[in-house]
Amino acid sequence: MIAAILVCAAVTFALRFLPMQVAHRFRNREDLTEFSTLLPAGLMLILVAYTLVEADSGTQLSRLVLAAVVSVLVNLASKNFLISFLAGFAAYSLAGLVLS
Amino acid sequence: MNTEKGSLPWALRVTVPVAMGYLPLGMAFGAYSVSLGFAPYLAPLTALVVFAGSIEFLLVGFVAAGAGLAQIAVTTLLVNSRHVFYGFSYPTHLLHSPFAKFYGPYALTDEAYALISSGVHPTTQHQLLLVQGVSHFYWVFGAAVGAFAGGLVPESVDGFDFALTGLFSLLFVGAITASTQRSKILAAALLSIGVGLLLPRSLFLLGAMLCYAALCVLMVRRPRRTTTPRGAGKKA
Repeated sequence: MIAAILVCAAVTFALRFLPMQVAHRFRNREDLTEFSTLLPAGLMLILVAYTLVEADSGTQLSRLVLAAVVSVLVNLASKNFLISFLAGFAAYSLAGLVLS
Repeated sequence: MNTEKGSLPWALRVTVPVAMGYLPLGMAFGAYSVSLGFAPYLAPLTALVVFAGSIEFLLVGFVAAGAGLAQIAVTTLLVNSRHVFYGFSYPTHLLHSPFAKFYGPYALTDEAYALISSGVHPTTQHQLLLVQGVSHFYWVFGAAVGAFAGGLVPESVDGFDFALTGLFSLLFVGAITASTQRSKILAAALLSIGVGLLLPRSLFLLGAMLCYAALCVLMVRRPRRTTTPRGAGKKA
């Protein structure tokens, strides 16, 4: 088990560490800087999609989508991360009572 | 909102969404690990050493099933290969001490990356490592609680399932509103998600991210040839 943990940790670390070295070395290159500013937003949307793809059921999927929409709308209105997050959390829990 | 950036209360506040995802998920991991027959201390130890979420569930499952180290290495490589993209927009210039240079990449999970790149925007090494360290603590603590007190988490409490979706959705909104190339990013991301959906489910994340990274490369290349846009969406 310890060996397995270490192998897993080493591979994970290498995957996180090596690209950083590459990016750091070439950080004065304008195209790489631009590349790095394009990445986060799209990767976030892909991660959102990933959590939806991983939903256990259609009901859970609708609850997740509903709650995400609620929290994004609240965010656009309030500009407050925490309030928006809690609103989505509440919407998810309430939808659970109604839908299940 | 009145806590100073870089203080512990500040870190605890900005990482609330991460805590709401990591604590229950960590507990689930701890309980799962014990249910496979591992000693309780192994779950928080794994959480401390690996700190990578979903691969840890697979890892304990593999070990329980007697899988070899090669299989574990390859699976880890595939499952965590998405982290390759995070390094490009991680603020490496903030890392100065040897410990920071090790710990920064070491504790760069999906959620840490999301917070750092799209939500918090740390400006010092201290802020950066604090956000990552606090997140790491939630994960290890959750795994310890789950391993030693598994079964105490009621099945009916499932609101935490929303935590990761909510976190990523809000960080997406934050990142896209800050960007100068919204429609391009949106189109490229949706296309990538479409491509990911065509793949087997286990390859969705990696496939979509690879596709998106490739599209970003194209987006950077093309305008450079015709004109030379200065500082489009440039920020450190």
